[in-house]
Amino acid sequence: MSAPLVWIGLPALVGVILLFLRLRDRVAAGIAASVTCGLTLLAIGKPPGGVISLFFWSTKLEPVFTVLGREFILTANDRWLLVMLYATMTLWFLGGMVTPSTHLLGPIGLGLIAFMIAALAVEPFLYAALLLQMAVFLSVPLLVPPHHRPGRGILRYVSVQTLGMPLLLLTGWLLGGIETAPVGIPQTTQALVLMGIGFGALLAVFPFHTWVPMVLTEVPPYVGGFVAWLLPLAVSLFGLGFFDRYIWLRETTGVYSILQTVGILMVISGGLWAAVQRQMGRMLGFFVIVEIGLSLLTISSGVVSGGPLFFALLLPRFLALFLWSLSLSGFRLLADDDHSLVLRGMMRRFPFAGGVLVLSQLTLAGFPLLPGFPTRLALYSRLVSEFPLAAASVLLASGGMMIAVVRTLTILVGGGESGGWQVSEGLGLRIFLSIGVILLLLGGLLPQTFLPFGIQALQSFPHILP
Amino acid sequence: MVAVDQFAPLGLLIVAGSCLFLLFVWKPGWQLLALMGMYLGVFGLVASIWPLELALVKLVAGWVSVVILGFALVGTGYEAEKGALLSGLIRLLAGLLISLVAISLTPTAKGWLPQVSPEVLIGGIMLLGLGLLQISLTTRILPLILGLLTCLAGFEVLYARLELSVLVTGLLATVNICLALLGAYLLVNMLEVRG
Repeated sequence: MSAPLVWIGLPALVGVILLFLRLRDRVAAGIAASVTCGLTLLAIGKPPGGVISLFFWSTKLEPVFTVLGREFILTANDRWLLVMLYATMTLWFLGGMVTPSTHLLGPIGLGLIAFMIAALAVEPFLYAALLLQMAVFLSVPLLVPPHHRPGRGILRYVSVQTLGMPLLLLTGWLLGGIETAPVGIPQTTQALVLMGIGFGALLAVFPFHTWVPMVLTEVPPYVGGFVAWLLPLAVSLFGLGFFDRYIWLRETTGVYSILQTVGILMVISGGLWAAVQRQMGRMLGFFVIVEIGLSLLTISSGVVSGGPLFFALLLPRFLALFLWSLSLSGFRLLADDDHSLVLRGMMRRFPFAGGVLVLSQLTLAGFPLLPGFPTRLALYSRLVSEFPLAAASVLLASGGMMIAVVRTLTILVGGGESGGWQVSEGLGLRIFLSIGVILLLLGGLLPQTFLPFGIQALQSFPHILP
Repeated sequence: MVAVDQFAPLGLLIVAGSCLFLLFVWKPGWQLLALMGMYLGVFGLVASIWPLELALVKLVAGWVSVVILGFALVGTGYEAEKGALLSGLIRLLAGLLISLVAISLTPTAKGWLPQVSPEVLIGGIMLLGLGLLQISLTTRILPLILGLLTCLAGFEVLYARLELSVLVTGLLATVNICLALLGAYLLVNMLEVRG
């Protein structure tokens, strides 16, 4: 048996079966959670290349699976990346069991993770662009469930992502001819231009970022957060694959200058726009833009030295996005609601959801004692010595995000309903939110225990290991 | 079977005519007819590079996409907002302008993609440009999907000379069909909510 068949084929197969069974949303999410949890445990215990033994039967998880002459390769190096991806997916699916989402979360979520890992595993890697494009198409029915009107943000999302894919295919073709060539030949410039625009479109980098807040305003908060976590992660890992593969790309200083400039623009624009938002989905969109900008800044002084910090940011980001989406979903808002009115005073009716919403925002803003702080501090100290302007922009963004947190608090605790406090969240949601708070606090208080989990995933990119 | 070089000029003419017609008309039926014509032109351009049987994949995938969108339109009773003749003329003029730009860009593009013949380059750039124009002029689902399909067709024409892999051809055909399916899904959703 081959490892790609297990970590790509199995979730895809279960996803298709779930799609046809049309189970209730919680049941489908539960089955999907069981599958991803099993695959997480399998990746921990028996990584690709290992041997599975069950009573009298044993089989080796071969790293390579060949389809029509193309290979999908998952090696032992990919173990922690698989663990991270499947563990986070498990939490998303479990969250889908305690909050109103859609029956498509389970099947499409499994399909998305299968496409994502296939994109990271495929050789030649130019096929990855096509697989990511299929993932984008697959995500649309999740974002716009049946019988829901598609908004403009979705159309922009589909357009931008579809236009980015051809550029990456062209880049792959150009790079195929210059894998070992020295820097400076004309093809490298062409490839860099195409790659920059292609990744810019796929990763929602400035100026292609406008769909993020639009989509997160239009779609149900839980699935919006899910896609906002998964898709940029898939694209950025695909991008790191380019750095891992091409020495000349790692050594081209111009690339880092561009990453830095774009990162600064994204961080500043996202932070400042977040400060003036009153719609929580839209605010989440701008926080996501800041996070993408931060990821670019981590590797802007060198992908080898910045790689660990890039991965260290992932775990706090995941926790914050997951809890933000879960808590916002707990308020049972409607898509067209004006959050500044509807959420007014809701902290008294939904104290768990309200508290966790604020905590997750504080995490993304880099507030002390929360898991976003140690990574943000490491980024500040790194940037302040090398690029003071970038450090100042991150500080400015954090300021904007803090203002956004204060605005959220003002809305949640201000005016509106009279009367005493009550707990309106269901038991399952309360338990989940409480576990989330514990994880946030533990992540903030014991960063040396938690952050290495994310950093270990860097082993999938052996050439950019420090 | 081998490539047929003589198809390229004819393909270019069909592509140009059908894309400009697509910009000018506002009725969905006519738009889909123009899209069918466009894929015929794309087939002509690709057939000048690829063996005929492989080039046929582009035509079949394109027409399948048209059929999918057509079924969605018929099934939902979709009716486009009536367009004014003047706005159609302006779009047509903009399309002509882009076609001229495509012709003028060809020598520069030849430097980037020296393997590609001038007809195919003009056709590819024209499709990309007209598709982008279509996308930029609308916020409605059907014209947007048609614009994206046009853009993808332009890219496929240029890419055909660079990559002759059967798997890539198949995957690109799948992307086209999935995009049409997505368009159909969004159209059905929108009309259900409206209805």
